[in-house]
Amino acid sequence: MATELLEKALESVGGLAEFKRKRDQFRRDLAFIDQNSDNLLKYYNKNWIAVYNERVVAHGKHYKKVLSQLERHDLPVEQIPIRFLSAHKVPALYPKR
Amino acid sequence: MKRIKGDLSDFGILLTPAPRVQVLCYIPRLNFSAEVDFMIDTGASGTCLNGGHALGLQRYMRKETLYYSSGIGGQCGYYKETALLIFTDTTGQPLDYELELGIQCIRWFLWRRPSLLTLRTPCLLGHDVLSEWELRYNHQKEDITLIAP
Repeated sequence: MATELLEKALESVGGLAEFKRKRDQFRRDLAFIDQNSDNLLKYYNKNWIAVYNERVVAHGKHYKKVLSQLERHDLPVEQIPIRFLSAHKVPALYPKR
Repeated sequence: MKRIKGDLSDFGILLTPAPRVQVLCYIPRLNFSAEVDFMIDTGASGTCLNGGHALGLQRYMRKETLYYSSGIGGQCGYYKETALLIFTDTTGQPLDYELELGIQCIRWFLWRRPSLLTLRTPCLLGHDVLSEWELRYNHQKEDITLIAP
């Protein structure tokens, strides 16, 4: 049985059916990035990209510019994966800032 | 028992792909929700939003909830917020988990131009969740399964 908080959370995204639809879309967009990373790197190395409906809808050197592009086009920022792509891969441990 | 499937991702930057799981993150105080892909990190004591996900929330954070966490990368501040994580189990049904979520503190003077290192840090699903659940991880077969009691 759904808790009250879960119901509120689902309501915030438009209900259970909409949650499932958005979840599927987000998963497809994440998969698009992972499955096409070699190709995407040719064009967007050292750039941020935002993918929506399996298309790159915004890109740029600066994260905030990508966000601005999404907002300008009235796209749902909270449901769009935004990823920094780099051909230079790093270990998972992060160096001291 | 409910099962949640994860996968592997290099998060755009990692040398070795890491396990990840997709979650809807809901913060009731702000009525905020966002889809997030969390790196599954058994070395992280707490689950946290980092990078771009944290940046947009900075102006809503409360100073009195700020705490500091130490790790290999050094010390980092986090704001604490009650949140609900909503996973999807293998039957397609939502599975929720309520927790105290850490939200990376990004200093105000960096809001306009945060560093690349700050922004690209993945969100982490830590062992506050993982210790309650079972995690099955076979990297070679790309089999990542979380099992909720």
